[in-house]
Amino acid sequence: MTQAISTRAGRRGYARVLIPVLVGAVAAAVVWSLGPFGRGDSTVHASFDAPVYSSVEELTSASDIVVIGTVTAVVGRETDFGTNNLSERVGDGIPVVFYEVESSEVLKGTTDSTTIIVGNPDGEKLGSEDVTPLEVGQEVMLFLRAQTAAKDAPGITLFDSFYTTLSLDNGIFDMDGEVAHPRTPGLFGDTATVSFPMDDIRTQISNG
Amino acid sequence: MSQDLNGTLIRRQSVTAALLGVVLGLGMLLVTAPPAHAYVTHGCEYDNNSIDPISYRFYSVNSAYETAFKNAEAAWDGTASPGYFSEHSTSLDPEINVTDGTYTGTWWAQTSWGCNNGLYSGNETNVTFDTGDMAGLTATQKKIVAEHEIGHAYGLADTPQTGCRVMRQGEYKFTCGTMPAQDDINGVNAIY
Repeated sequence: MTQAISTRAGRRGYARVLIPVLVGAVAAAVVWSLGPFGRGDSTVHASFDAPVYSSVEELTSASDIVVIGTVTAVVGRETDFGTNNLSERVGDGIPVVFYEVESSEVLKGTTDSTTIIVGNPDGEKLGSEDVTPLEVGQEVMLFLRAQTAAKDAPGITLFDSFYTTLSLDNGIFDMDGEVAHPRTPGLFGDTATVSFPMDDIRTQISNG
Repeated sequence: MSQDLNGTLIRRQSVTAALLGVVLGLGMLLVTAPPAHAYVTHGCEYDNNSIDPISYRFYSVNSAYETAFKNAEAAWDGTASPGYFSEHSTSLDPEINVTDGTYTGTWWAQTSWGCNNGLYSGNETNVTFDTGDMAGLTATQKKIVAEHEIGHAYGLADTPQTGCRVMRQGEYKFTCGTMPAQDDINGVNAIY
């Protein structure tokens, strides 16, 4: 009898603890899912607005360097909060990926090494038609702007300096032998089958 | 017998030619007919019951970008678009979270969202301005970029690179005068 009462009391004790914990957990989950910065869906979709370069000449003029090279590795990923001040970090930030690219030809500018680092918003983590990932082994032509973390991307800690493609995919061309295909053909004309012979591109860049 | 065969062949040729003519005619119509609209939707939107108002909150945003966003939402509010915008400076759950910073890449601004069954996750979107890459833009150009991002928040995607529309990427929209354009407004009305 005493044991039965004791058992019941023990159950009530558990209930007194468990029910508030469960209620708290459910409330926390609801607040979390409704809270700021879009939680609740694992894929983050994004649309960017950026300068549009609609010719090789425009891209070349705005680039610090233009290279043809092969993507050899993904060498880092980081979330860019747009600041190096921890107290100013808000929201989910922008996922950024860094690629190592082995350049085979430098069409404009100079590089200290044939290996360069290219950092862009991470197309694998962002569902965006403006940023498609580079794949290891791909040969690409890149129109690049030099970035120093301190000045251009203070939220980045992995690299002090690196390059970024002009206006995301606008500055990326996929190579197919001696023909280059822009990743954003719609920005170069109405047709979706725009491609550029490399002889023409070399001439345009050297004239520019 | 031979005459019948010839007649059948002629009739078949006539029918084939007529069909070819119809196909060609329809093809010409498809090629030459102007598109009814240019706007494109990205497939996710606010719940229709929660756009009066669409609340927004600035999180430590530089005053130039606050002004740009406020002027942009006023421009959208001045159109015949559904819903209206309202700043909720202390809201814990605004429908647009506005932030800024200096980010990797050479882009001006972006809008991000999660999507569940065609509706925004948590019924909210995030607008981010890159203050480094937008520094060279005038106040009017900053406002137009903000209008573009609000268009994304409504559910519009970028339009093809033709004509004057606020949802066109790049500088061309800066040359167009008053924005948003009617096609942008039609797009929002088509969504809601």
